[in-house]
Amino acid sequence: MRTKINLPTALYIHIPFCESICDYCDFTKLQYFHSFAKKYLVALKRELNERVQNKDIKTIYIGGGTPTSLDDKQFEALLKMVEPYSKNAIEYTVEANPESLSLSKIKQLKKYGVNRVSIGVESTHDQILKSINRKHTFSDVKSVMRNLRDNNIDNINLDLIIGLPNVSFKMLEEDIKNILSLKPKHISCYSLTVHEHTVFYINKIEEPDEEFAYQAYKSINSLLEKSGFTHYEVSNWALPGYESKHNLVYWNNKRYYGIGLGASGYIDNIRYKNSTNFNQYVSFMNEIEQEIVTPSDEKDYELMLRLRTKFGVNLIDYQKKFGVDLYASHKQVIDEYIAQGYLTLQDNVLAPTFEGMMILDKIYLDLA
Amino acid sequence: MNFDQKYTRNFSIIAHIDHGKSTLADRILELTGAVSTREMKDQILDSMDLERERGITIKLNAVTLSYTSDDGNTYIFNLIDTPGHVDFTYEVSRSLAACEGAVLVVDATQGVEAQTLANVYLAIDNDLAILPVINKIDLPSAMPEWAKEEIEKRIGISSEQAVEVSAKTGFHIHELLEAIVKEIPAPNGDESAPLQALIFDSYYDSYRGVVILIRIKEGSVKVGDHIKLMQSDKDYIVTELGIRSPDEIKLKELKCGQVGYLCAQIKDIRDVRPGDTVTSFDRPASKALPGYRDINPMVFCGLYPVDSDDYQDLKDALEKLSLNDASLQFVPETSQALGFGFRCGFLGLLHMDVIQERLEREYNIDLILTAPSVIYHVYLTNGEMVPIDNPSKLPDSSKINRIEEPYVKANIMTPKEYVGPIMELCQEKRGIYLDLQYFDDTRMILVYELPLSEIVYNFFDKLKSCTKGYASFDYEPSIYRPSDLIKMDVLLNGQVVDALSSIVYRPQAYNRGLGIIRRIKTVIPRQQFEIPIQAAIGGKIIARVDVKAVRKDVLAKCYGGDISRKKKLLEKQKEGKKRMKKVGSVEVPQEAFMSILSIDEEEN
Repeated sequence: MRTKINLPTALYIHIPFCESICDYCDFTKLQYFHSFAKKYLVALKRELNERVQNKDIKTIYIGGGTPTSLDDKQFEALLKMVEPYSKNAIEYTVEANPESLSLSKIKQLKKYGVNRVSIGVESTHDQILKSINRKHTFSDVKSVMRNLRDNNIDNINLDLIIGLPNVSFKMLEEDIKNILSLKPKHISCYSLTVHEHTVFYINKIEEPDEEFAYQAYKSINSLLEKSGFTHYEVSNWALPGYESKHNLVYWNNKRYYGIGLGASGYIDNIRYKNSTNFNQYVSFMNEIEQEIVTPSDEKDYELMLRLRTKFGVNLIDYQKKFGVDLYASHKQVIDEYIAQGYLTLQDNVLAPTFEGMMILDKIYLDLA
Repeated sequence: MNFDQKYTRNFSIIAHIDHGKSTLADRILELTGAVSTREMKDQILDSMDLERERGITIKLNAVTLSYTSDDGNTYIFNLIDTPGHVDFTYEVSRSLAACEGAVLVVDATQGVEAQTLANVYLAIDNDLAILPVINKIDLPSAMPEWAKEEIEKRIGISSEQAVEVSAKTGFHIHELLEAIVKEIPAPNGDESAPLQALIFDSYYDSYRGVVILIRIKEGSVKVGDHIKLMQSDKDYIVTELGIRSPDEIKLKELKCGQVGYLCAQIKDIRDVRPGDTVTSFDRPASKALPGYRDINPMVFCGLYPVDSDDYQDLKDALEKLSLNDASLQFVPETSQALGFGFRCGFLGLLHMDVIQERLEREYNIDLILTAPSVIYHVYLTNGEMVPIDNPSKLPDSSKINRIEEPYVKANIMTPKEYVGPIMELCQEKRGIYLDLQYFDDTRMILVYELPLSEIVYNFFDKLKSCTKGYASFDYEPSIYRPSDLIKMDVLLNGQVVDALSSIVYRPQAYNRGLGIIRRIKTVIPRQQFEIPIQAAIGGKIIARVDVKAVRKDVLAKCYGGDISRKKKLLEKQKEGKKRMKKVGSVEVPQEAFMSILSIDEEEN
């Protein structure tokens, strides 16, 4: 059943700890305790060494949780265990919260070659941050940015959430202006999704109304485009050349290693997800969920993922890979979408416009 | 098995749905050693998967059993199963005509129900001996004495010899078998008389042609005999005879009193009409046995393949199904919205459901069904009458003098506290009050004449909800009456969708129209543009709702683990999309076509 494909050159590492748990978060995470983290790093190292066969890794992403919630010693240990894999990395990202990204951690990042940092800003209004149980203020973000730049880490992404309770349209536009004033290279804006087992869900906080979310994305897009950013993926904007290379691996349907509690990966023809049970994971009993990706699944994944970015699907490559002439088989739908301004077809590349990105699920269902 | 009429008992089991008929049949089969317990699937007589799943009997079945009685003799029992649903009443009358007796099963906790009553009267009309059985006496809530009283009071037969059993535990089944021997008379045909055999069912077998299930009333038949079907006037040579136990046992001869099967290389099942008489070609009986009433489909709907490439497959499947189901009718029809399909006639809604499920399950065809309709008699100004079973085919109103619609006579049995709500419901459904009788001190029988279209529409559900499920209901066709009816069209995105047209009662048209389009709105997937849904009468829009345009439909975050999860979700939606038909630029799911039925005026 297993088909050999080129080894992945992308590596994701999950650090599940957080100093406090945000009201909306549904990622695999738990409260940071020194002893837990210590055990975790042992198991993580073992998985890393066992699973990652390829030392020639091009992109690394350490996410969470909050990787920077580890204490300095543990943080160093983490970066050190990754070191053998990071020699050829062209993009090495670590996720951070403004309040835990201390100057000493920034120096560690620099030392180990981390060249990109992603910061969870979420809102630039302090009263909103407080209301969703975030522990930082906007001025924390500013000082972190300054410290990073002082240490020559300039490739920075800032995350923002659209549709938090009590955030008006006007406040959201202020958020964008505030964020632009910090001159990041990359901005991600995610429309709030309310998941089960979160404080938001329990408190019956509703996801933003469709029209609000649409108008918000539209307004954000126009503000960011005016400042030179390109909307290259549904929720991501970047200055030219600063698109996230690691995340593009996902959206280009390429293989990647996923290491750590609840992490997902894609190796050969298998998409897997590690156990989300902490005790199991640290006892080396990682129960893995596996999905065998058939050629037909892969074809669907390709469409679903590649249509998320402005780079779209190259129809000739697609036909070579899957033997399907997508345009011929869906001519009427595709032509309609093009005429209505949702898709473009140029040089055999089928790509979504801004409007198209907003209704991708529907487009995918019409094309799959 | 040596055959002697004296030691034969032919009987059916009559019961209300859920009163345990099939379970009882299974126990009888076990105790008579017809099939060993190990081989038994639950409820062996309900052999279609669908029957077993729904706990109902659809096609009747017959099985021959042998039973050694306490009197030392071995008896042949022919148990002929009967369906318990109102759609299949005609099948009950077929079974009964092949028997000398009927075992009447009454639930010790429920008493006598309307459906049971209807079937007992059929049995009494057929001069059958009736043996009452009180079932489910293992239940703590069982009230056998009360159930017996019910039988005496309501049906008017003696319950003295009633056997108290539990089909579930097998309790007293032996006593029941003894009672069958004693109470049900042996057949008394004349073996030397000319052959008269009643056809009570048939099915198609690709190797042997039509297999006919018969009950020999007079005379006998042998392999090689030249036979004639009296009503259809066709003649054949008998190639095979036998009984089913329930596996087939071939015999050289079937004699009067026996129930068995007959094959004669008959190619077309339409030549074999249940109720017809088989006789000898050379020495024919002077007259045929009394047949059954003709079975006419009452409910019609359009059946279309979702994928137009499946048209031929659908045609083949319908042909195959109709081989074993003479009551299923179909003719090709074309819809502008749905393409090529068939207009099919069914005995009722359950029959329609069953056929739909079989087509989808056994033949793997995704279907779109239009809302069921009845046959309207449309009288034109030139005096001509056209029967219309498809609302979109209704002639232009300027050419119509009047429209008549079929009515049914409905017997509704209910605890008396629900009489008020039921009468209100019947009134709302344009019912004509006929009678109200006390059935006993707690229950009443309401008799109404109701338009069949209202029954098809949502009468069952309404009846259930206004009586908390306590009322039972039974109907038979009555007559055609003139009604103030008009065609209502539905427009999607400005385009009339013929398959969504319906014929409605004019004074209720606005409410009905609004109800329908509101319901359609909930099932039409949103498009990137706004879709108006309109109800129109004679080209005039009477109601409108809009399906809002989709603005944002995308997963914001799609990394690592989101990817597989998202694909699974999309996969599910893709499955749902398979059952949609593109009408113009709008995708219409199956539910939309049924929304004509399921709307609820109260929602307005």
